[in-house]
Amino acid sequence: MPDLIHSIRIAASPDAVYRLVSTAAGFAEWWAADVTGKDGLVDLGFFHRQTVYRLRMQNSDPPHRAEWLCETGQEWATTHLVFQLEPAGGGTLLRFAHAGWSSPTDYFVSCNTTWGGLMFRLRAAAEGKSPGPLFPPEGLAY
Amino acid sequence: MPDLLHEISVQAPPERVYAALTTPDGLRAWWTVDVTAEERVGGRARFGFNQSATVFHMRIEELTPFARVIWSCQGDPDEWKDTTLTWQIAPVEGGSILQFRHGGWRAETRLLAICNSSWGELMHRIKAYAEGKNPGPHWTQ
Repeated sequence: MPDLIHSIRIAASPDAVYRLVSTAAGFAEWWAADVTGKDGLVDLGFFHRQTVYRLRMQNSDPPHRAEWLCETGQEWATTHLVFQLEPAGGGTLLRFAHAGWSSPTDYFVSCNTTWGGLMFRLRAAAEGKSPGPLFPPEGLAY
Repeated sequence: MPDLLHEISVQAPPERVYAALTTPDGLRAWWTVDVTAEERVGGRARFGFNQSATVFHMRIEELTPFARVIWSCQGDPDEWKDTTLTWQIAPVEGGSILQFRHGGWRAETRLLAICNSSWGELMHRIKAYAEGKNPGPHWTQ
């Protein structure tokens, strides 16, 4: 079961980062503009909802850990998104895993690249730079 | 041996993606401003970050125009020593697919995860540069 593993240092407190990885409103600041649902159950829409990922909060330990189960998506269903936050040097070290892929497909590789871009957007959002989501309503922000 | 694998679609022809990876001006436009790079196999490339707080030294192993670039890392930092960076560019309708492999890591360290995120961010910058959007280098000094 291959995992995508990421990490980034953020000049913001674990509390500030935790909000961004544990709530629908937080996701909308760096991931995707089209986010609906209540906290604990979130739908993220991509490319005019051609793709919708439904995430259900599995475990949360504020502000240290937020773990989501993805319930939809051909390759994302049953995978887990795990955000772990630890204080480091006055800020936060974020460790992230997108775990439980059934095989290392081309989509697995392109998602690895997307997560890299997203880590830097998440960092900018936590540091108050208002980057906006990587996926605005019309495709990619790039 | 874990490898870092990345892929991104680019709405620009392979020639523009290849230039981003092989010319000093191209490399400066997305990675770091502090670049010296020879455009020949067997040549050397040097990349400085944060006023040379970190420096990567590469040997250029392969330059197949518009299709493949391979560098080997000669060290500094130690975890990158003897790792290999391979870029493959394929033409597709409307542009290119860029694939990247940073192979030969000896262990799944914390730095590996941090570098994986950075490569993802840099792939987006290469895309933006090749598409004429002038993203600027990720490291600016």
